Amino acid sequence: METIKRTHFKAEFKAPLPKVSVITMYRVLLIWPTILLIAGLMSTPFYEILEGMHKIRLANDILLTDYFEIGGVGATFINAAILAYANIFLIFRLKMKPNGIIVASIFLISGFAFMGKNVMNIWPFYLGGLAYAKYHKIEYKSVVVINMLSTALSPISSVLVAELAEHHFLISFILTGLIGGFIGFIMPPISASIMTAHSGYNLYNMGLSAGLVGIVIYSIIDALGYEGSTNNIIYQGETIELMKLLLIYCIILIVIGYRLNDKSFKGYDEILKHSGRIVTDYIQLTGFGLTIVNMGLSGILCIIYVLLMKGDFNGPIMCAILTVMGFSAFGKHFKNILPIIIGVTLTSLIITREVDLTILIISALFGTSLAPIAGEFGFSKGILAGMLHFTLVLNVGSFHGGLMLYNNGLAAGIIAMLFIPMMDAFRRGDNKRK
Amino acid sequence: MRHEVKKIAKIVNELTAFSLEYNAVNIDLRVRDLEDSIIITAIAKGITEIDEAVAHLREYLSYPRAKEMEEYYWGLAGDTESDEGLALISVMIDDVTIDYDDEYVYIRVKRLKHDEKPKEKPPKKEKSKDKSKSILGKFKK
Repeated sequence: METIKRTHFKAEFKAPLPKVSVITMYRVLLIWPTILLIAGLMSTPFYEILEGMHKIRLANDILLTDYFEIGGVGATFINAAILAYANIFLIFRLKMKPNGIIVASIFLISGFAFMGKNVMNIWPFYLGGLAYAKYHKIEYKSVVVINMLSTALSPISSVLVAELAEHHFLISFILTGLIGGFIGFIMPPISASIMTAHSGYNLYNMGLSAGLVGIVIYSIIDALGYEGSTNNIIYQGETIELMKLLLIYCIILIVIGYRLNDKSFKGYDEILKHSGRIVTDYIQLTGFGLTIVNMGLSGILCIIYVLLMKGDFNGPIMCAILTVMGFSAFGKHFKNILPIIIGVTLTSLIITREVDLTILIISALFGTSLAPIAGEFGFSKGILAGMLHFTLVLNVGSFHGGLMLYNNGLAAGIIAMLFIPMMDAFRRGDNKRK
Repeated sequence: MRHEVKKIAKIVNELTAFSLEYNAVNIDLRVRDLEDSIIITAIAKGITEIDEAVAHLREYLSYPRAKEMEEYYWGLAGDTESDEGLALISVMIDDVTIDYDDEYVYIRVKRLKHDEKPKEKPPKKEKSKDKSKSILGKFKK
């Protein structure tokens, strides 16, 4: 065998990407929580922040619970900043290099700190994950990302606190720890197993995994006499300043990304060539600089969409935008998210059911979980996936009683499970790698 | 490591699927279970569009090992019928060698078994008998 080219170590495989140190990556990740911290402290007196955070702690967090409405803008910002700082610190302590899924998870946690996650209701999941790692004698870093994502079920902790805290604080605390910990313990194998159901076409895999767990848990507590009802607590105040804050952040990301990519956008078209299917890590494929440029661009696209739809930048919508931005490091780009957004919006014009504007917008933005379908099968199929997603997402919330925050991830997972075999039915011959 | 056997089978599956999808007519696969690692070797003959295939291997097998991704996504490996499947196995392996010519593509991947290097035991004190031998050895030299 004559050797023409021999390639060894992984690092030598690709054309060298602009070098970005791990510390620089962490510094960039710290920008958003720092903006939130400063904006929170400047916008609201300190005692009001404390009061707001206390209200957030006592909320039951069932979908939709907008923390802007519950605790005020300042307290919500501080809550989001604390969760983001804590998770970044955790990743840093575990000596992990930020990659696509880590960035996506941090943004997702930070986003859902606007509508359902707080310091008090997420901790049991991490303890459960830690117990899982100890039990199986594996490193905690193997499951920390799954822990971060599995906090989708944090309203279960909140419901226990809200139902029992006034009478039995200690009991509610212990129950929260046990049930949340149990969920944190079982989620790593469940989420890995569910992954195969949609073949990696649903970027919010945890939505489907936690959704199925949530359905079972809701059925159990419903049978035990729990009378829950979904919330529709949405902030009605002025939000234009929040939009400006987010827009500035997106621009900051693009500028920093431009500088980190040797003061150019060269290579950005590479991102657009990917379908976005799991695993598509843009940090690895195109470098950190272009990845944050992509995140900034996706954020701006979402902001433009919300403005066109005349929506507010309330908690759920801020959450949806941040989630899209986060997953723009791990599969999304404007070319594969746009068809989904169009599909959801078109469907809202067709269906007879009246849908709240916030629900419509977050369905369109979270629906981009199906972006890999648009990326792989094309624009029109992406629109179709978006249309199917919207009709389903309006109905799945009742299955889990709002106890699971990634409602769109659940709907998208079901659509992906059906859509991919459906496309296969129409495909002639074998699939070939592109 | 959990599900070690399944993960190895997934890696083998992905390399086989990759070779077959590029029309390989003969694939030799070898799995070697060493003390500290697993070595999987695939030699594929007759791959068409060899430059494209190697370019894909290079791009997607360049992902560094990432245990957080491995634990979450390993079930998908070997199942994807796309290059993302190569990325999935790349986060599960530590080292790759690719070698090719007009006829063959050789892929060798190495997966370390342990998270940390085993602690080195302190050297045992040599017995006087051994010592004399070693001195004798030196003397002989």
